[in-house]
Amino acid sequence: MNSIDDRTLLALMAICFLLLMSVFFIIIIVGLFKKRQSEHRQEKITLQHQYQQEILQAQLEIQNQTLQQIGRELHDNIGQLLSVMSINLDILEEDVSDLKTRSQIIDTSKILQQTIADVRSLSKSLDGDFAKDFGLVDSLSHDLRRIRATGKYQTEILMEGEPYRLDGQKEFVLFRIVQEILTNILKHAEAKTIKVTLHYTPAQFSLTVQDDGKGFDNEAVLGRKMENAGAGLRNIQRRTEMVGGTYIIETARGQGTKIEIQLPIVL
Amino acid sequence: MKWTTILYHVIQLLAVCAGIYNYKRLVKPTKVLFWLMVYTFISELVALYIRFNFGNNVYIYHLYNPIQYSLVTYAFYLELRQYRFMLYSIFLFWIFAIVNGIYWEPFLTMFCANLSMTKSILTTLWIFLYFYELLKNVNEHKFLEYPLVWISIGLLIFNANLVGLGLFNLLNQYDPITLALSNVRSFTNYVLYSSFVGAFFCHQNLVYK
Repeated sequence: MNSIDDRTLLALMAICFLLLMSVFFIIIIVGLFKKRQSEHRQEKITLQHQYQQEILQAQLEIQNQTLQQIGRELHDNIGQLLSVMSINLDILEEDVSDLKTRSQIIDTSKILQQTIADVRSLSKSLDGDFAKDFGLVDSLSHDLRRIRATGKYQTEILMEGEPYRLDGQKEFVLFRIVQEILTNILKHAEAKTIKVTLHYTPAQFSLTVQDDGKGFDNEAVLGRKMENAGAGLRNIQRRTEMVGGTYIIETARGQGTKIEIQLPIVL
Repeated sequence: MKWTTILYHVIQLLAVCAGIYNYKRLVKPTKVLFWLMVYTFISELVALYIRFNFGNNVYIYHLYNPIQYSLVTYAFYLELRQYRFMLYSIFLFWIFAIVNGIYWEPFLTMFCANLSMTKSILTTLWIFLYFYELLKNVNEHKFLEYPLVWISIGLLIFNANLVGLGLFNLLNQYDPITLALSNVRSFTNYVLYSSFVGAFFCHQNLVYK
């Protein structure tokens, strides 16, 4: 092999080495690009999730503030006016000598007392802080009592396992979810019995609301177009996800509805 | 004429046609590269004509190299505007080309190996900068949806060959001294001009919009 051949061979080797390096470099860049892109997608999903959580949180806060405002108005304003009416009726009752009129005043006074009690009960139910302060079980019991008081429904609350308190915010969200479910039952289910079960285990908390109403076609409801779709089920789903839970609906036409919310307990 | 030379010009013609066909949808850096492609095609045809009719065509490359460097650098600068020194380098490269053509590698008699080597090293640097910025600003677009990625891949492979030849002082050989080297050189040329076709047809995404 003469000197030109040696030089050519070396040049060829150098070029091949540089070409291989270039290809290797491109492969590395493609790998890094894919890795960064996957991180970017993950970041985007996390941000979207955070954003949705914040929107939902804001929605809940606004809803809570509005309901609290209405509850306060009912308690402080309407409740006070009703109390004044009750006092006036008592005075009137003492002043009236006619027995028939007096009996009518006593009846009216009783109705008024019931109205005052209902207004107070409703104002408590509207107050989200009630759930935070007195706990989920008491708040739900209070709501179910209120529904039972209408005389149209039988209600029941059951507890299984060793009860414990959840985080205040979670209890408040769960309370609102159950309120949403109860509203749906009252509006659409035509049920006679409503049963709420709270199941406590160390690893999971689950809450079941069951009615014996007419049920519905879940697939059809979920598949409805936006203009026909109600916000109820979507709200339940979003709020359950917000507290890190999952929800299951078991329903069919004529067979009632059972909604179960499961919440993992993080130690 | 060798079939490799014909293929070389056919790929260049394809790149020019791809550029014309897609010109309206090309982004600014790719438009600059399209004009480089047009210039390259014409310049290579002229070089071929002169070579067959007059023998010596090296002076063509004394003009081609600074123009190619200017357009490539400007195209990358349009994507990497924070690196203003890229623009200043164009001016310095022209001065270097003139001095080199007068004193070190006379433009009428010698091939401009110094220019080619410097151009390759600098454009490789711009490619590294481009990939660095691309990795910093990753989004939903795919890797090959950036026209400058195509150009960078083509140029990187082309430059690897040029730098390899330059290291052994073979760039100023008028004819490649062996068939192997000639074939490698032809291959890198095909890769480079095919990358232009890819750049003109791909999605026109930019790192910085």
